[in-house]
Amino acid sequence: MLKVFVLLALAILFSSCAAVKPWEREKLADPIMIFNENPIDAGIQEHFIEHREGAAGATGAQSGGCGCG
Amino acid sequence: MLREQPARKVGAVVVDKNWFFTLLFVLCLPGLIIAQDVPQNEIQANMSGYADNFGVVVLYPNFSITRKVSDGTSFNGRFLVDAVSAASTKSRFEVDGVTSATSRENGGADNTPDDLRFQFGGGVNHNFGDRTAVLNLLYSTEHDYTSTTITGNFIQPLAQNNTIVQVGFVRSMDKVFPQTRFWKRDLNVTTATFQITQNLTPRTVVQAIYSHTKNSGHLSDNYQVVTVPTTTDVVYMEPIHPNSRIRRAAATRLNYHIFTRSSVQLGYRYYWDDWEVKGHTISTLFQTYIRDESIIGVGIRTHQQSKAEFFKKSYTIDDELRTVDPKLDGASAVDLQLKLSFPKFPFVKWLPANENLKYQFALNWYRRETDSADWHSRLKTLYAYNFNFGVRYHY
Repeated sequence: MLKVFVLLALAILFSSCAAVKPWEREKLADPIMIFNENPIDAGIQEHFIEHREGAAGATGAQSGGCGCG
Repeated sequence: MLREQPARKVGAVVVDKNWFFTLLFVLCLPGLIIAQDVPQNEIQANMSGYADNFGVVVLYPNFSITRKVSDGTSFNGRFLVDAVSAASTKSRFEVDGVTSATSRENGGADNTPDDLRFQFGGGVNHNFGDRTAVLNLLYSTEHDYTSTTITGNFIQPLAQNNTIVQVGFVRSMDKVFPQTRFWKRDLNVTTATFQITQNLTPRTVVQAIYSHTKNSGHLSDNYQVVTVPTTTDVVYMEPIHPNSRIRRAAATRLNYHIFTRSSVQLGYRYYWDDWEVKGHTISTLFQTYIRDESIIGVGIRTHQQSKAEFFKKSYTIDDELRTVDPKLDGASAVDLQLKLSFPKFPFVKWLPANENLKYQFALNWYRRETDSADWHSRLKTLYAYNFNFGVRYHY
């Protein structure tokens, strides 16, 4: 799985060769295009999920403050 | 803590070398770098809540403020209170000083909050030329434990801001203060994260995230009770989990702008750990503008996981490891989300409305089905509701 991830990450990285020009980013700048647009809300969601499932991490959100279980 | 692991056994240490050379390579790319913006002045206040069919109710009002003090620096502070009735689960043992909700007095089993958790946080975002460093500190306290979390992130934009590389580190230290029992049951959690976000096309952005976490210390939940049948009777025993856990997760997400003002987000995460829990999570979120600057979002998330290797439907008194924690059982879950964000509150004229203000509302309906019945409620299916209502004000 890790190898797949490394390949994916490198593929994403090298795709930057085909860069989107600054004047083409109007849609990318829209709030609906931002992952975890509200970090505090995302952290609270992450905290809730972490306490109900055995899997955690790689969500881009920062939970914390209570190490239950 | 990560360095203590033998390189052959812990893949992330080997991969860390790859990360290092990859990072070295990309950080050396000249002339492609544009500075990131630090967070703007904002005040946010939320009232959040959780309730489930296992009888747990949590209310957690929270407040945060961000202040940009210069072009390249902003500070933030936050405060959160958890009022938890989770401890109304009556334990058979004198549960004292564990890092989960515990009753301030023995027993519980009523509808009043059994535990209050206060969380304070603060942090700084600072631009060092084109790079951004983020440092945050969280301090959380209950009557019988404290938790300190330090997070650090380093963000490097590349390729005319089309690529964002982020390296993160989180260290969480929980300390317990037993009042009637004499045990040392601290818990440390260390997480390293690597993240790349890439603009693929004028309408598409993708992200890949890898996280590696080491938990060490007391990892059982002593509120839980393992019932062990014997030939003549039953014995009630405390759970015993291993005292370390290596957790890994790799995820990828894609966000695509469709139609005039809508987006579809798709995500997949694979999780695996050395307790043999493996999980697949798929999520999707559709967001669209309904009028003016009002946004509605509808999401669905599914999760499936296998059980931990030491999770069993029944135990003998000779078992070295015991658990009844539903999080460690085989399970499938679905989470439906509805979120709204709007600058003007409909039907309520007296609430303030302006371009800097945003009201937000989110409701989640969550269903989890485990392979075995829960140790306390005797139910296999958990239904939970999570809500949030708040305001964000840019000043």
